[in-house]
Amino acid sequence: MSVDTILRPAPLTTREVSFQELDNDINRPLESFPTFRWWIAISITSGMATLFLVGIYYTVFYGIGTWGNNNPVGWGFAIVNFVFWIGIGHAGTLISAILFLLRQAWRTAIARFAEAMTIFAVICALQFPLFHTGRPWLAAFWLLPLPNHNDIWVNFRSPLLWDVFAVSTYGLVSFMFWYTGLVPDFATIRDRAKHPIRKMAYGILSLGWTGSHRAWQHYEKAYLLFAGFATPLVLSVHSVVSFDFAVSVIPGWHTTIFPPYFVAGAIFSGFGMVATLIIIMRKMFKLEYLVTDDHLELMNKVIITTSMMVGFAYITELFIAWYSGVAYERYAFMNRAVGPYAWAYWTMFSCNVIFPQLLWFKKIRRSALLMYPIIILINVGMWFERFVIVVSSLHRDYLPSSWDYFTPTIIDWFLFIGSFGIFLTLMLLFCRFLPTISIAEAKAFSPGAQPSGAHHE
Amino acid sequence: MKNTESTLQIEAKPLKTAAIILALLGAVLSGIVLSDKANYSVFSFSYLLAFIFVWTAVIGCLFFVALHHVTGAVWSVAYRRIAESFASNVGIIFILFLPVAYFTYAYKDFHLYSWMDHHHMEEHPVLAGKLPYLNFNFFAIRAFAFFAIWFLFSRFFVKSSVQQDASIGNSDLQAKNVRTTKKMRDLSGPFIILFAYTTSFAGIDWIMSLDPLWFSTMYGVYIFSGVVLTALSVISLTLFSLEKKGLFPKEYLKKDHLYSLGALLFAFSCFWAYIAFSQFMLIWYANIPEETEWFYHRMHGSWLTVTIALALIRFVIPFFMMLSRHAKMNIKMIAAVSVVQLVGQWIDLYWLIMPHVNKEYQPSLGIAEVGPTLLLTGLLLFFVHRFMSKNSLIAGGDPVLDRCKSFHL
Repeated sequence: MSVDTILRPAPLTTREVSFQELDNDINRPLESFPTFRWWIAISITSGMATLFLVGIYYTVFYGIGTWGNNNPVGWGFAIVNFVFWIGIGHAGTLISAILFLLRQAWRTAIARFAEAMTIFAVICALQFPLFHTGRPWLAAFWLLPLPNHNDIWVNFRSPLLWDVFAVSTYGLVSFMFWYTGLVPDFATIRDRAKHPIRKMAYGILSLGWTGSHRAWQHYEKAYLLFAGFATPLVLSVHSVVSFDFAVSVIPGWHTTIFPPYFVAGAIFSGFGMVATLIIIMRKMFKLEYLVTDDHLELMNKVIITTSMMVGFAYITELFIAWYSGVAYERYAFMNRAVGPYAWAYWTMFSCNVIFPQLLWFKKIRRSALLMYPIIILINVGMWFERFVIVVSSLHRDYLPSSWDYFTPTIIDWFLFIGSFGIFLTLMLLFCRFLPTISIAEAKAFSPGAQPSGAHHE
Repeated sequence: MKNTESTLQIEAKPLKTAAIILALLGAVLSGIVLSDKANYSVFSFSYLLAFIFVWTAVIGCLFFVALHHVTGAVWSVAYRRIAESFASNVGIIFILFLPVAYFTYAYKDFHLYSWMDHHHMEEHPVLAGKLPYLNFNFFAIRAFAFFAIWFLFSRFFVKSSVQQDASIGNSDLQAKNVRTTKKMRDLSGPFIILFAYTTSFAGIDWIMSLDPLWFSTMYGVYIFSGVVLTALSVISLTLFSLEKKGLFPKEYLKKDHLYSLGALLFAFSCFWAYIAFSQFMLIWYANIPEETEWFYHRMHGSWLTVTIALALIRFVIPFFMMLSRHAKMNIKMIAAVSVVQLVGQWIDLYWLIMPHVNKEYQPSLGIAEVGPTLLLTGLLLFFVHRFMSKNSLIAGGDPVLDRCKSFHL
C-alpha cells in the first residue's frame, strides 16, 4: 500500500460526484412531497411535543408545585433538562466554529445539521428556566438587567444572571452563524425553485445573494469572523452553566474542575446526539456518500476523547474528595457512589466512561450499526450526569433532618419527553425546508474542486 | 525521495557554549547560596522550582510529539524533531529529580513538604487522614512510576523517529517507515491518557502538596496548561535560533506552518487564562476558608504584585501580541511571545511554590531564587544540544514530511 492511502486523511466523499448531483441529492427532500415515513415520524414527535404543552398548562395553571421538586431538592428535572439541552447544543457551534478554525474539512458534512441541532436544543433548554420562574410572563423583566418598580436591579453577582447573558449570546450568535452559512444555499434553492411563491420565499431568505466574487469574498470574511466570535462562546456557555453550581458551597457542586469538565461533557453529549440523528438522516436521504463511514469514525474519535476527559474529571473529583479531608466532600461523593442514587451514578459512569471504550476498536467506530447502541447510551449517560450532579448533591444537604428523596412527577416526565418532541419536530421540519448539508461547501470540498487537485488539509 | 537538507545538523557551537556558561553560572550561584546553612530552606524550594521548570519543558515536548501523532498532523512533522530533542531527556530529568527527593527525605530542620513532619500531621484532624497518600515512601513510588512511564514512551517515540532517518535516500525502507509511523500513531492515544493522569498527579504531588491542606480539582489541568505553553515556547525558540543561523530549511518555515504554531501558542495562552480564572473565581466566590487561604496569601502584600504580573505576562501581553493573524505567521513575534511565556512559566511556578517557603518569605529575586534555574536550564540545554548534534534536525524519514513541505491551510 502506498504512503498516501495509509497516512492521509480519507477523502470527504466515497465517490466522484458532480455539482449537479450534489444539488439534486441534497435538495431532494426539500423539493419532493414528504414521504410516508416522514409523516409517521412527525406525527409521533409532534404528539410528544403536545405532552410539553400539557405539562406547561399544568405548570402555569397550578404552579411549579406540580413538579417533583422538594426541599432540599429545589432544582429538579428543570435544571437537569436545561443543562442537558444546552450540552446537546454544544456540538453544533464546536463543529461549525472551532473545527472551521482548525481547518477540519470533514466538518462540512455534519456542520449544517449540527448547527440546526444547536439552535433547536437551545430553544428546548430555555423553556425550563423560563417556566421554573413560575411566572414566565414576568420573567422577561426579572431576567433582563432592568430596574424593577422598587428600583431593584437584577443580581449581577448571580451566575444565574450570567447564564442569561451567556445562553442568549450563544443562541443569537449560533443562529446568525448558521444563517450566514445558509445564505448561498438559499440562493441555490431559489434558483432551482419552480413555484413563484417558493421562489419568492427562498429569495427573501437569500438576501439577494448573487454569487458574485465580491459577495463570496464578503461571505468568507463574515464566516471567518463569526467562527472567531463563536469559538470563545462554545467554551463560555457551558463554563457559565457550570458556575451555576460551582460557585456555591454545596459539596459535589463546589469543585474547581467544573468549567472544563462541563465543556468536555457538553461536546461529548453534543456529538453523541449529532451521531444519533445524522445516521438516520443519511440513511433516509441516501446521503451515505457524503456523510461517510470516515465521518462517523472521526466523530467517534471526538466522542472517545471527550469521554475520557469526562472520565478524568470523575476520577479527579473522587480522588480530591478523599484527599481534601473535608467530611462533607467525602460524604457527598460516597453518597453518590453507594447512596440512594447509586443506580444513577453507576448508570452515568458506565454509559459515559466504560461503554465508550469500545470505540477503541476501528471496526466499531466505522460501523453505524455497531456504534449506535453506544451513542444511545451516551445520550442516556449524559442526561444522568446532570441528574447526578443536581439531585444527588442536593437531596442530602448539611441538615440531615431535611434529607429527602427526589421523585419526578408525571408533569416532570411530560415536560422532559415533550422537550424531545419539540426538538425532534423542529429537526424534522428542518430536514424538509433547509438543506441538511451545506451545498456550497460540499461543492468546494468535493474531489476535484480543489485547484491543485489535492485534498484540503 | 531525497531530503538532503533534512540531514542538517548543528555545526556551530554557540548553543553548547551558552549552555555550559549558564550551567556553570548557576552552579557557582547555587554554591554561594549553599555555603550558608541558613539558605538551605530557600534553596530547596527554588531548586524544586527549577526542577519543575525543566520538567515542564521536557514533558511538554513529549506531549507535543504524542499530540502530533494522535492527530496525524502534517504541519508539525518538520518541527517534531525539535520537540523530540527535548523529550529525549526524561532520564536527565529523573536524575535532576533526585535532589528533590533528597531534600524531602533528608532535611529535618525544615520541611520542603510539610507533610514530612509526621508529628504535625498525626495531630492535625484533617491532615492525619491524608497520611496514607502523603508519606515519603508512597511519594517516591509514585514519582518512580511516573518517570518510568514517561521514560518508556519518550524512548519509544524518539527512537522510532530517529530510526526512520535511516531511510533518507533509501527507498526500500519507506514501507517500514510507514509501519513505524502507524505504530507511533497507535500508541500515542494510550500514552496521552497515561500522560493526563501522570502529569496531573505529579503536579498534585510535587507542587500542590506543598500546602497539604489545600486542594483544587482543577490543579492538574492548570499544571497541564503551563506544561503545553512551555513546550510550545521552547520549540518556537529553538526553531527561531536555528532559523537565525540558517540551519533550518526555509520550506518548512512558510506562513502556514508558522501560523499553525503561532495559533497553538495563542490558543494555549487563552486556555491558561481560562483555567486560571476559573480556578481563582470559583474559590474566591465560594469563600470557604480552607480554600481561600491559598489565594488570600497570594493576594496580599507584595505577593499581589506577583499575582498581577502573572496575569499580565501569561495572558494579557501575549494575547495582544499574538491576536493579529500576521503576528501568528511571524517567527520573530512567535519567538518574542515564547520568551514572554517562558518568563511567565517561571513566574507561575514561583507563584505556586515560593509562598510556601514560610509565611515571612517575601517575593524577591536573589541568587538563591535564580541560581538553580540557571543551573538546570543550562544542563537541559546542554543535553538538548548533544541530541541535536548527533541527530538530524528534521525527522527526515517521516513518510509525511513531503506533505509537510507542501502544507497549506
